[in-house]
Amino acid sequence: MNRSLTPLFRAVRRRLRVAWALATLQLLAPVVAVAALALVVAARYFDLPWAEPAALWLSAAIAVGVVGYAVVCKVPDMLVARAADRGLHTRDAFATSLELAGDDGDFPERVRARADEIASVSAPKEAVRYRLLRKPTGIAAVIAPAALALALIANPQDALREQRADDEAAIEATADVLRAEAERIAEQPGGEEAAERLEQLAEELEKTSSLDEADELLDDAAAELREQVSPDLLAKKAATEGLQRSLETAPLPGSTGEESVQEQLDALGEQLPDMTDDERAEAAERLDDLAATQEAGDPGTAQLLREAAQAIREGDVSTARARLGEAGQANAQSSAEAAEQTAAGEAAQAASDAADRLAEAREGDPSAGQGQGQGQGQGQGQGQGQGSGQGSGQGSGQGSGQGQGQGSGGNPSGNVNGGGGTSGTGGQGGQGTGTGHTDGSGNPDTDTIYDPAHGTGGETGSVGGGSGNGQGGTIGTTDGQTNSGSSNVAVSDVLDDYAREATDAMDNPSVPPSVRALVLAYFNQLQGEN
Amino acid sequence: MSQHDTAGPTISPERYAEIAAEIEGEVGKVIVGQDQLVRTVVTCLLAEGHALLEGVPGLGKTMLLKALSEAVDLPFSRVQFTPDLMPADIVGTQVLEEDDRGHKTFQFRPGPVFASFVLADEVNRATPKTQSALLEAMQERAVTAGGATRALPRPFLVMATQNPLEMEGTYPLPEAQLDRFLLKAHVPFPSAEDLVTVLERTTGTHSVQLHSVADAPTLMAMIELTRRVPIASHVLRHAVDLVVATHSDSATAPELVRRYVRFGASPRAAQAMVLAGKVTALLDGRPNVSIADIRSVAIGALRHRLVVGYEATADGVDAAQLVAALLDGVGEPAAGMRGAP
Repeated sequence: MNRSLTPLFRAVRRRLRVAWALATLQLLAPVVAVAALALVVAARYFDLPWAEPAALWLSAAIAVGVVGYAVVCKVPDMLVARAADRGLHTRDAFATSLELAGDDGDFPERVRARADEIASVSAPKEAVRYRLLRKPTGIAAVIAPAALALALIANPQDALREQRADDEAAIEATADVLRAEAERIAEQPGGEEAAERLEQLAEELEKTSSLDEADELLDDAAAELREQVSPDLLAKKAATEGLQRSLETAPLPGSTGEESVQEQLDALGEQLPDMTDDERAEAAERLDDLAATQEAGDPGTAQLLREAAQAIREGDVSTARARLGEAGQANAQSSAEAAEQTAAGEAAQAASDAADRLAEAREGDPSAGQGQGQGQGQGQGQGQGQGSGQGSGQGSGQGSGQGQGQGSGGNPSGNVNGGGGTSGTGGQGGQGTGTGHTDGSGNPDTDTIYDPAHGTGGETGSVGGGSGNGQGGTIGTTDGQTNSGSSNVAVSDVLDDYAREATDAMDNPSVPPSVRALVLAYFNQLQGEN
Repeated sequence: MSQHDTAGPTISPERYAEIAAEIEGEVGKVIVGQDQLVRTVVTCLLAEGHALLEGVPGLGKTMLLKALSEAVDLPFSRVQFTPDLMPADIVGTQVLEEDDRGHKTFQFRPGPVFASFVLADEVNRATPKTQSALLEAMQERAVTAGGATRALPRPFLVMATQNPLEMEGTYPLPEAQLDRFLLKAHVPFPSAEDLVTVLERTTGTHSVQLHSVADAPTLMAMIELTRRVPIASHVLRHAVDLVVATHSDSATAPELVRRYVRFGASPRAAQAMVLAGKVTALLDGRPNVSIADIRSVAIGALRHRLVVGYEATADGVDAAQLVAALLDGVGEPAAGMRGAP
């Protein structure tokens, strides 16, 4: 190519790219605008959260694609020459010159000279003109703003999308909680399998698209995990842990308290040949005691311990050693099973809690139109009664009542009905549970729940020599902690009863000695604090 | 490129254009208002082809060729084709002649075809046999008679005329023979102003004196130069595209062609367009053929090569209209990026 043509060709090539991009965009504009409008309209009538962004992305992608292609597309010299020929009406001077670039002779020289001459007086903008395609551009100019306006004004589907976003956030949060639980359980002995199941559950949860689906998944998982928990888990756990603690506090002969059950039993078996008859008798008796503690939770270990004790009494050392070893293994297996089931139980509880959390998220949704909460209330009632009897008299009494408060419809007040107390009888603070209304976010309100209008007539009480009808009321306040629900009865009120029952329970021979000590120490400490 | 220079021209393109213009100027002294017709005939001359003219009698066709022969100082002959015209009447015949010593031998007496310019007037009135004799001479540029082949003079231009009005007793030229003509021109009736000029020049005492502006060697040099004009490949391709689109079964054929054309143009049509395009470029003072050159000669090169069906005649569609539709349907090659409007 002639060097003199290079500047012209470069400018023409650049203008060709721009002209192509402009023309293509103008031609595509109505198509894209119609597609965008269709997407936006569809998004208003159907739950298509991707539609509006898709309309935007479609437009942007096509614009970027067209411009990108115009930039990177190869524009050969011949194409440039022909475009310049056409635009400048050169009668194919440039194209022919390009083809004759390597030819010698009179005509090629003349062709090149003519091309150079034309190039020297030509302007690239005349070679390639930018065109406005009125029809497609006009169509796009009408449709595109309509699509934009529809995209900007409120969409009837927005509430649904927000709800979905909330649901997804709740599911995501629940999955995070499950993962945290899985990490915690994984650190417990025997918790690997349950932790792995929780991790898997968290992943499955994140793939769900609705709260219902997530809830169902969690319920299924919780049920599946609960099936792994044996009904006698607590007994087995108590037995294995009791045996462990018993041997910690009172090790078997030849062992220290730091050794495991199996090590101590094996050590006892090793000691047997060197033990005196008295020592063997004492060891057999100890084994019987231990067997007794295992009877309820771990009968297999208990049986082996008894057989070992019997063998010791009979002087069959080898059998005794064998049984002691088997007992140690049985105990270890039981401990492992208990740990696994405990972890499974905790995982099931975690799944169940997660399901509850999702349920709360769903019920807290304003769009659901319902709210539910739990509240606690304390009520005290005072009653006065007048009665007539034999003789006359007046009496007054104070009483306490128990009441339950319920609230609905957003009114945090609840009705607390308290029975009138009889005179002279100290009332007991009532415990009330109130169903209050939450505002959707789970934050409870606190308010007075006393409602005189709903006070009931006091019980007829005997006051002095007469009886009277008292009218009682209850004043209380709700403590609307939603997740609470524990008793608010003062510990001091019930501590003595609990301590007495616990002490009575200590008489049960199945309670390991170490547990007895632990329980007694516990109640002693509580009574000391109160 | 399809053409390459192998030797220097014996005449420059500028001189070529000047001489052609002078020839047209001389002819224009006697032929008034038929510039396009003159250009067609000169184009055929410089492309070394033949012209087929169609027009009513009295429009100056004979005068045109006679003026041309005077302008280039070459012999001219005119043959009036009639049904009883024999081939020998055109190509010549062997006659028995006696020399001075009394020996009798057959001597070839050349016919009117042995002239540089031959006017075959009303060629469609002769029988096909006689037509073939002329058309064979046109194609081969030689005549075989008496067992000997004799070359015709160069340059050699046959200008045949057809009278479109009188069809009684005529023998329309077959398609294969029509294909021998480089271009076909319609001789239009002159405008009133031109007709006044014609009357002024032909009804008075003043006679126009034509001057010779070229001779046979000059014309042959010009013919040689014509073939050396370069043509870009996309221009050649456009000529081919036009020819291909004349076939009704072609995907690029316009609707009008599909409907009315029975047989499309032959490759000779493309050759004709390229050669005529080269002449056009040189006459325009350009050293290369352009697409516009090809398209400007397309009607003349294609109109007599299209075999139209009876539907076209019934609908009043002639070949020129079909070629015009063809030019509309087969646009100039795209000169922008792919997909650009």
